[in-house]
Amino acid sequence: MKRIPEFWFHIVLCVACLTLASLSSAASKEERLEKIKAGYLVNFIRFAQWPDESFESASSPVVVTLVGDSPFSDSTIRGLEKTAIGQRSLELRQIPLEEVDQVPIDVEKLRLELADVHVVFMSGLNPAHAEELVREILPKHTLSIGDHEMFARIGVMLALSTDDNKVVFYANSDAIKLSEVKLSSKVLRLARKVKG
Amino acid sequence: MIFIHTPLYADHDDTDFGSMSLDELLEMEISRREPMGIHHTHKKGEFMFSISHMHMSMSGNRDGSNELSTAEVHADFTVAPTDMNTDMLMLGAMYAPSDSLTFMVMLPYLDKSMDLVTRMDIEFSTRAKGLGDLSVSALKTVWHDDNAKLHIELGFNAPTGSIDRKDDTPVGYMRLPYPMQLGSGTWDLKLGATYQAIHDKLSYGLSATGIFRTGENDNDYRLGHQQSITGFVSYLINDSFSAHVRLDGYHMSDISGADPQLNPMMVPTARPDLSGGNRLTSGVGINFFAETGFFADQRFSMELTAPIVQNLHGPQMGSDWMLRTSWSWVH
Repeated sequence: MKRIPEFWFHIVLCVACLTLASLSSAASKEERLEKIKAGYLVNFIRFAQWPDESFESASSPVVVTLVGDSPFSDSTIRGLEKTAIGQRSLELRQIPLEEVDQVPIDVEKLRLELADVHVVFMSGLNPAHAEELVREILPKHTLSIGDHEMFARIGVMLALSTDDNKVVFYANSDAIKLSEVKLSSKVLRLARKVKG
Repeated sequence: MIFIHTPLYADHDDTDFGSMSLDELLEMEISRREPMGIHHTHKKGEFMFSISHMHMSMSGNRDGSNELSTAEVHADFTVAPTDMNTDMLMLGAMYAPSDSLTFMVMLPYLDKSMDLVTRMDIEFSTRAKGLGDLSVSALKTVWHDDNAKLHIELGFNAPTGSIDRKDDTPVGYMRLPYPMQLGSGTWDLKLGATYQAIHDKLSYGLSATGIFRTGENDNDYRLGHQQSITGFVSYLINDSFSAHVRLDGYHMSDISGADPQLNPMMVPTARPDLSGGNRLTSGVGINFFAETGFFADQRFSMELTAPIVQNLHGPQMGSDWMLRTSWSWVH
């Protein structure tokens, strides 16, 4: 065993590589999570049916408003805007958290901003404000989606959550029944159910 | 030898969010779990390029499981090997035309050196380096469920490695003995089967592989057939690191035929009947997978193995340890 120094050369080399690699991967899980959530958003829209009168024409875009702390980066938003759902494109809008989490919440302003919105994706909102948004502000032709299981329990139609390294989603059957947006049975079949 | 927990998202464009179905999204893992282990299959369209370096250290001589002194070897041979070191740089590429079929090509570059001593106590070294045998194989998944799969391997080794290497010795510029040559000189058939399963953070499996030589090479011999069986367990430490342990049982039969340029009375490594044996080896390794940044989709692995039991047709050199480091990139 005359070449033991090579053993230590390997060790040092590997430690150096692993250190460099670990520095590059800090945000890895978040990026993957973001892409999976974007995939869910597109699929939910694909399997939803809005009243005809909620669109100006057959090719009008599906308007998606991200409310609160958006989980999507600029590149993901650009990717979403390039996504076609049948003849329709996606139009992404954003309402920052500060506008929704103020006390008291400016109901009239939000009603105006959300009047022609087809999808609301909520993230990072105070539960009380999210509940007020869902029950009093959103039009009935809006598909509401939350970025935490909690949202489904306060009246949001669909909510994403993580479980065992995977992203799952919950469906609030009562909220879905009350909505003018019809969801495909495929979505409901794959969802974890909550009521309320 | 890499064991992959199949990444379900690998064949999707990162910005084509509509290409993923709800069923696929529900099965998608947030962080990749790809511990090291055994030859693995890929998802459709995936390409992997890898570079690995292996250093193997051998020293002393054995007969059966007993260690022999140099004097005991000199009782029957003029020259006794004392140490042998092998460095191998392996370039590899894998491509999957479908989810159930993966092609693999590997080409090694070998650098072998051996220290020897004569009965007259003259020490000398020999060295051989160059390309080894090209390996080409196909991995076919024959069964799978949500957490486990079984694939078979069928391939061949092409005789691209030299069997004519020579070097200076005390008696002249001579053909080097069998272990110092770089290839088998024959077309070799590769067969294998691997079962692997994943349960949460734990993955495990069993792999059986064999290399079967065909015919006889240009120097009138054929290396021994090789069979190995490997059990492995890997644990996902966090999103990027996994560690594994493995246990290998290895059998190699003796060389058949003989190179007429080698003198079997000179050194044990020139004796065809002193090349086979059995070895039980354990190994421990750590693997890192980078998911983003400059090192995105790259894996760094390191594994140290050492024999537990060696039963060799001796006198034959015994193994001490082997260290393997590798880098791979999946696209």
